[in-house]
Amino acid sequence: MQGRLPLLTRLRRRNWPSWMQPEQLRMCPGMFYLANHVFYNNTIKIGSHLKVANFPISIAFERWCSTLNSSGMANTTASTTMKPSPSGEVLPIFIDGSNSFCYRESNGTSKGNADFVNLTCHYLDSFKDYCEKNQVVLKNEDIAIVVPYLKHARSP
Amino acid sequence: MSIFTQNDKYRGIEVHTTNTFQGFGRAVIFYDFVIAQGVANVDFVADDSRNVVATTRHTSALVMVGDFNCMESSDYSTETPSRGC
Repeated sequence: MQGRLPLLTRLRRRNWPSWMQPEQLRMCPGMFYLANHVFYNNTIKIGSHLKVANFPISIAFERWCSTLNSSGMANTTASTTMKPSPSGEVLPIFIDGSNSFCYRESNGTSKGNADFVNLTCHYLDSFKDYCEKNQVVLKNEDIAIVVPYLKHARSP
Repeated sequence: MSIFTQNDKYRGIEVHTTNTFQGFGRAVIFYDFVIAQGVANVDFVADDSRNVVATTRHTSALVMVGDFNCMESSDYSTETPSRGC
């Protein structure tokens, strides 16, 4: 049972001295909102020195979002444009890929979804192109894709 | 996802599972939820410890790709700010 717990949890249970960092000092304002609300019950404060102006990629991200419509696709009419983030913040976005097909590996429980691979590539290309056109430095090394399933990570 | 290791255009972009990415970070993260409507067992996707890793690895931008109908049935859809998407 103990082996399943994270190392930090185990150390704290063994009474190792620890201190809970009550401030988020790493991410652009707004980017921590989701995790703070859902997982930390809004107990983590946002560092007062953090400003959107210090995150050029976040600024480009917010502008790129304004080119997408409310479903996340390329915007065609102003009336369907994605709502902007609140002033002084840049919020994450959720791209809705309805009606995709999720498969399970034949000899296990891991899963994959080729439709979402295509969707991820589409938006990644779109954002990279936007940054390039607007002379915002975004290297491939600045980007990572995180998935819950190993089967999906190794899919073609 | 092997397209990211095979295509020169994507060289340098890493693909990780939520388990292997713990402790790492990037400026931009694409979090692909994988599951679609109709999948009976969403196990890993509903696991808070995995989701907290995936949604706190970025510094500048987070794009989540998923099926909203799957997420709607979970607690994650409550009281979070809407951007119309």
